[in-house]
Amino acid sequence: MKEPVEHEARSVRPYTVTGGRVRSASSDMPLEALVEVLPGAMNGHGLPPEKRAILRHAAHTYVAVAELSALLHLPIGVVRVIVADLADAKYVRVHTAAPMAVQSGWSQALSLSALESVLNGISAL
Amino acid sequence: MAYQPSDTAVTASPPPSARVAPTVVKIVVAGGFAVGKTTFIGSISDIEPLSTEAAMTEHSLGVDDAGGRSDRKTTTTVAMDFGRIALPGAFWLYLFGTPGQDRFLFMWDDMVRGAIGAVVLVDTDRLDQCFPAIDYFESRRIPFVVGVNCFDGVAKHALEDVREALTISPQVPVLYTDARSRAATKQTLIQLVRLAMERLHGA
Repeated sequence: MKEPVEHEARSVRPYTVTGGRVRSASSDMPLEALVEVLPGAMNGHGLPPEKRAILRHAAHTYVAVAELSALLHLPIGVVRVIVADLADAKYVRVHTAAPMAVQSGWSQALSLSALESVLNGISAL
Repeated sequence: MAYQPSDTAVTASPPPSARVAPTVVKIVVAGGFAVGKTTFIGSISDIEPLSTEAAMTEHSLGVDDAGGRSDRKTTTTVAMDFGRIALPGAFWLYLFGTPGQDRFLFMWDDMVRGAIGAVVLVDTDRLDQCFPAIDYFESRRIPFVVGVNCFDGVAKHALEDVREALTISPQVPVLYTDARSRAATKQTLIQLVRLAMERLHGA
């Protein structure tokens, strides 16, 4: 059971890889936003290791921001900044759902038909 | 069954650009320390539950696990576990689990944004641990169900007693679950999606 844990020792402070930046448009990027590597971006020569790692992990499948955070052992906030950089540079595309009602926290984007598909899908598991 | 044509189904790894991105949906799994959130997620996830952390330098208020009060500014990290289930019709369902202590609630806004709803897992021996989660979802009108986790398959309390102790409205489903059982987890998720659909109908 993983619950609150202390900071593990790191050789590099996490936000070093973002150049110290902590927020940008990326702070709205959902945890479950899917990252897709765009054609022609595959090798990522000259990019820092974290960016190359993201391109590698997302090379053959969509990978969520939260998954990249877990796979790279980097905090979500750091991954958001790096992914936003990669998207700006046209290495990746970020897929998010339609705009959501932030205030209620409950998505207006969830249509009844989408929920029905999810319900049927879970029932068939 | 609302299956989509097979050409849009999630299949093994063609190049991403060759197909449509899956529609991502998520459900939050909340509850107190060691109540079985990760087990619940792992019982149904396609992938081994992954864990990541949100680094926090927020002020921490409230009671810590050691029973002492702490209101100084601290740096800590919160583990967040999650799993993923591919569903027909190119839907990917993510399950996000996180601790339910008061001092971590601020990060829930991030997690619940766009969620179908939440499952609050309850251990009847430590009922008070789920209060912050229930308050949170009630105040934000997020659909949630209460799953009473039956450790070792034993139900120690009647569901109506649990409902009364939690003082939740009759509209909130309270059900027995078993975090280790895929079938029980499935039923719990089905209840939640049904509730979300009813809410959407009524909206």
